[in-house]
Amino acid sequence: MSSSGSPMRVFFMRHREGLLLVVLVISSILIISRQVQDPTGMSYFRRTVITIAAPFQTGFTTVISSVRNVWNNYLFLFGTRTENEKLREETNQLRSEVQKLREELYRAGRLEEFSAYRFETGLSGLAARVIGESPDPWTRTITVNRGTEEGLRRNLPVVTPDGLVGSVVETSDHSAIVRLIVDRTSRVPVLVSRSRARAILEGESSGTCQLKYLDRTEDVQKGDIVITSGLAGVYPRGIEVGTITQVLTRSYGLYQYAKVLPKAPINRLEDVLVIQTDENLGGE
Amino acid sequence: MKFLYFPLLFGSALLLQSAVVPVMLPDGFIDGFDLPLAITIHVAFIRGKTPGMMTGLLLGYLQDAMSGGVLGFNGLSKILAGFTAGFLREKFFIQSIAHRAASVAGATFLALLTRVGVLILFSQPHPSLFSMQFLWGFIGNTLLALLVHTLLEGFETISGIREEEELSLGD
Repeated sequence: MSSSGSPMRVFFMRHREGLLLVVLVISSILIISRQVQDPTGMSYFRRTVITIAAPFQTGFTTVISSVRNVWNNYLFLFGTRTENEKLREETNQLRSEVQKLREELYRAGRLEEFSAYRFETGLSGLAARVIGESPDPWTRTITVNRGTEEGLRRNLPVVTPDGLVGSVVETSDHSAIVRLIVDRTSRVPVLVSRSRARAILEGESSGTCQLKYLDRTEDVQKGDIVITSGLAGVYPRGIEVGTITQVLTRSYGLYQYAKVLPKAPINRLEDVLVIQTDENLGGE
Repeated sequence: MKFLYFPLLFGSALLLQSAVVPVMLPDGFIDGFDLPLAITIHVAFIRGKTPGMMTGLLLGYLQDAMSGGVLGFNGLSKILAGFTAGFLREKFFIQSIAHRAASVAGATFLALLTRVGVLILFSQPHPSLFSMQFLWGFIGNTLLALLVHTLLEGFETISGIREEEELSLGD
């Protein structure tokens, strides 16, 4: 047994892993508490990570979609190759071309829809491609291929022509993270279109949302459309959010609750529109 | 090649989790599929508490940064998962499948419990301990971590990456 160290040194050496754990835990709690108290502060660490990760995410998403295309368009036809190799090659070539044209047509269609949406609503926005999703199972966010260089900043609303998607929470030079309306921390002031009842829409992480603080005397029914109220100054008024699928009224309490299914295809977003104007903000 | 193994492993886990898992799995199943957590537990099992904690620290904070959430929620829970898995590995030298499963379950449960506890501590929205999200998160991630550990252990043994770890286990 070594007798060279002081009792303090021996103590540190013996418990170094436990002490490291304590240091890491306390540091993490301090880091968390700083962010929770000051949510407007932009972290350099986060900015750097997003900036570095975005090109990899783009590349990876492209590779994955190519692999999926190859899988869907070629490998399923493996059995027919033995019957007629030549015909199959021709077919595959045609399929590949059709697939490419379809993709181009789809993207052109989406852009046309975005243009029509911008024209109809009078809102100006920037089309962005989804390049990744949250690696944290408990957080519902997406990463898009536009950032501060293209004019994006925090709190800009994100939509599709179908309905509201979420808002920008972090930006880097050429990418941004968008918090989806189904994320547990998402809060959107909304109106029930038919009865004009006000409420707050909260995400449930499971792909649906819940209407909270909905006065129990308000007339709310299954099938009602929910739209943004414009009250918080983040989302323009009148954007469709979703449809009420269930109304829950308890025999006690001041409020009733309702489940809302988002209109936008939250689980299969490919392109989104980031609203960049301040018009229509700030209430009714 | 060996020195590239862990950076590649960590990078792949994060990219798979952000680009492939959301596409392949339906909504409810994603909660039970946290690859960085599985990798943290694996590293703690083969190398011990400190590398486990450091892996949890790195992957957890990167996960937080990439998801746009509060920095530290994942970091803290994965640091504890790494420590717990390393601690249990030392206590129960995890050769038997039962000990291994219990250790993985313990580390996974502590990671999820820490996550919920910290969310409650900072008044953030959180799932209930009795919700399907928590239950599936526990079961799914335990099974995933066991599978990932078994597969990587086999791969590392065959490829020779694990020779040095085997020697250090005998300490």
